[in-house]
Amino acid sequence: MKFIKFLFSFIIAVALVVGLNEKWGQIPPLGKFLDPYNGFWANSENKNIPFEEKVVIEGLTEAVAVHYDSLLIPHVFAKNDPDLYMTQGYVTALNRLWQMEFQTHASAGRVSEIIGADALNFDRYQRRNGLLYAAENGVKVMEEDPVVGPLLNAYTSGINSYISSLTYNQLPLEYKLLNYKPEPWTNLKSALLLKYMANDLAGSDSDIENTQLLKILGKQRFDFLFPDRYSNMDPIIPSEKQWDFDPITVRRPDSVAFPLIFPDKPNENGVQPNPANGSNNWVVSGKKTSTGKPILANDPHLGLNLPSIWYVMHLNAPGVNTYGGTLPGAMGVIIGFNDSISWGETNATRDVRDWYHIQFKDADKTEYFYNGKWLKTQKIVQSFKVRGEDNFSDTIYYTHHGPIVYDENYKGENAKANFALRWTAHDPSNEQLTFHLLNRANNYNDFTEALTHYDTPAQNFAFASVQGDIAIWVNGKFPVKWEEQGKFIMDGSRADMDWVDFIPHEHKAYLKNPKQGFLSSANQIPVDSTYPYYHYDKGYEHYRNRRINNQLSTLQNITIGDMMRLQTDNFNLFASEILPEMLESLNKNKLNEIQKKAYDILSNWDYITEKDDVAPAYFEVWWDEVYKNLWDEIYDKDENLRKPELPVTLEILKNHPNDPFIDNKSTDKKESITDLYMAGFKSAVDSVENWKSEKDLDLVWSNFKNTTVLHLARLPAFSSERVPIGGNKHIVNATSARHGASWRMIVSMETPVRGYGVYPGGQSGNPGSHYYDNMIDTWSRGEYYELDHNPNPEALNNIIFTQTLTPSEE
Amino acid sequence: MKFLFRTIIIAVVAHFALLYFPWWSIAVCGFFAGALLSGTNLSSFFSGFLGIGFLWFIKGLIIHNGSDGLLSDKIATLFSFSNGVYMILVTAIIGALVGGFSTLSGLRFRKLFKREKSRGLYK
Repeated sequence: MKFIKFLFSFIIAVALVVGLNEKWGQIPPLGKFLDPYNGFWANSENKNIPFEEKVVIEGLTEAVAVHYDSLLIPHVFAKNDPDLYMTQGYVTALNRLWQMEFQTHASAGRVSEIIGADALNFDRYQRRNGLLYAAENGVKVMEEDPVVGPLLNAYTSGINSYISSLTYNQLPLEYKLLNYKPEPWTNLKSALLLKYMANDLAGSDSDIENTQLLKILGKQRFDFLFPDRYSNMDPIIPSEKQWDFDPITVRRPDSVAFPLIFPDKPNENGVQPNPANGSNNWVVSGKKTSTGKPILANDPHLGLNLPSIWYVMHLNAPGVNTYGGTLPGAMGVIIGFNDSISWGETNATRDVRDWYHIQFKDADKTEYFYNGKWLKTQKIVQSFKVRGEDNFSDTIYYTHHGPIVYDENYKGENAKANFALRWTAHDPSNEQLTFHLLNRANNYNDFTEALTHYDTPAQNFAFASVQGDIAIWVNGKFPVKWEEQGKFIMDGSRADMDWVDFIPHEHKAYLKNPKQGFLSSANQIPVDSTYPYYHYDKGYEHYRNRRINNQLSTLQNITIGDMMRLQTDNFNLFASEILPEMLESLNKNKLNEIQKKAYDILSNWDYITEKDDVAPAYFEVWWDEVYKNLWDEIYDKDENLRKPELPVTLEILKNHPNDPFIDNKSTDKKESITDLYMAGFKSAVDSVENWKSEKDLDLVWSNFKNTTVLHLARLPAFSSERVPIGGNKHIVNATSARHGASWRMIVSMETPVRGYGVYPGGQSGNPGSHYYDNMIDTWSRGEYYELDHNPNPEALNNIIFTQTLTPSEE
Repeated sequence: MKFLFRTIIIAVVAHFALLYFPWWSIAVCGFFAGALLSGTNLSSFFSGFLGIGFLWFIKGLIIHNGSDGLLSDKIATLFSFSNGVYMILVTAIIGALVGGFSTLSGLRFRKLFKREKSRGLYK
């Protein structure tokens, strides 16, 4: 009996310990997680800085000082380059380890290892899309490079000295919540991070959708609805540029027939990157500024996430004193400045992904037809660890074009639907060398030399120097194409469909010190029709760029304050070009009281999309209704299918009142544009009224659009919702619901150089830290912090904590 | 008196154990306290329950207050609670349950050997 009593109580005790040490579904291991000494409570820091003052780092050659300022921005002072990057690795991991590992897991298609089978479809796409393959190609080049190789090893070893020092109670919160442990960092992971960015910025194309549309619409109608350029385009490179070189020419084959076969709903699971990924940058020459020295401004628009994509650092060693945004997992400063130059990037959007329809000899898929011969495929079996389930295997076949992304095992309808991807991001390249050189560049020549090593994702690099030079380079690896090459899926058996060459560096579109005194880029078309190379993209920006250029051309005596106002400019150029007509077409007599009120609000709107305005809510919903009803013919075929861009839509509404698409298919009546506007207006007012009754919130734009800075694991508890900020897509302040300026930087090239910056997040990756999201308010108010890059550590302002890293004791 | 002594011993030893060992070291503390310091079932169980429960409650409370609930409020949201204070209570209850049952099983372990002796007496 006593034994049974013992056994009974002992089993309960053991069951509690074992049960509370395990994760159950979404519930973390409660004993481990709630332990106030080691569990989540140990991550509760608020304003405390839990770092040790002295840390021994094996492999350092000399002591390194890391001074944290009041924003927790580290100012790193090292005596040589390897120590500098070893410290960058250590410090980044100390503040952002979970994010670094999670993003590289996402790139490698390994999210299922952490969250289970829900992520398997995403992971399979990542592997098939070739990010791991691309990173494996890229890391070889980086490791072999005599400059980058040793520094990358130092960076990796800095991250690993942090990882190996970790005990359970010091683990970042997300590891405790999801119950797993960090693995050692590798050089490959740094390459994976760069490919993660390449995919985010150059990882989408519309070739497959174009092919589908070509089949639905026919060529003439397709060309009308999806033209390569519009009449009032405002390219990055102004028309004063002369193209004084002999271009490489490729001949368009005599008989081009695009195969009208395509994979099924390729973007069904939203695996492709957000098409709104874009950015603004501009430079103004000293002729137009109050100080007589150039100013550079840059704000990359990316998904708004916590921890933020950017980690801001000041890196100092002999020969380098640079400050700016770094990407956790990559070496050096990516967007920033030093004592002589500043640089910034926007996405140079262009079609660098082309698809080839592949014909296999038989079901073995060992050979495919190309140029009259049968070529061998390479077969690679990819294995996926899935948390809580058996491993999953996926076979990917490689052709000389690249990997077969879609086949009968993945979104292909049958054994004949095989599509290989040719993508510049798969090619080996060494972008790290570019950033290494930019961080140390002293003048325009150093800058252009740095750019020669840069391939993917192609970027518009803006430049300003203390010498007074300004420039923009549309820089990256671009294939030389014949007209329409790669706009649709191509016949993979024809040699004349392959890329044969790339645009030489000196033939890229760039301009230095233009007469107009400024240069800008906002993801618009890079060049006008005189540029001798064919260039195509699915969606060039058409509004932010014109607003920026319009403002820059009128501004004189420009100050930092003017540039801050322009970066946070909320003027909706698009609305100003269509709303007057929309309002005019309404018959006011047919409106009820609520509709009349909405009409008046819209009529009195100045197109400035402020956070407290009501009009933008009505306008956005009204426009969405009109757009959806106009293109209902395409929505009906496939909701995810590409629709015509805004400039084409406006052109039809303004100048083609008899276009067949204006009729709403779901009604018997033949609609006119006036009907389209009226129906859209009424339903917009209804949905805004619905919103008001559903939500217990004031009807103002920022509540309505609900800008959310979302935690990377999509946990609302760790996210920031309803950020009070104006703007929207196609507005210079391009802050939409989940997207916006991920880093705003303005640099004046006076002596000493003055920098200002802010981003929607914080330096710490820990949701339990005050520094996790402390910059969001400043960001949403359109305010900035001064970026102190004083090369003398004693002269730095607002230092609140200093950490000294020392070499291992002998 | 013995109850109070046992309870305090459990809390103090568990406090030091948690500085160096994983969370389940509280169960080891409870077990040994129950095995070494005799008592009734109820008194042993509540020594462990209150000793660990109180320790975890106080530690949670100090962190919650010291950080203005910055993290505990967020974790509370994850657990569908409105306030971080509930996380202190959940934490204390989880610790208390493990403490209580481990101390009780320590006592029952002790009784296992006592039983051998008493059996000899009545034979």
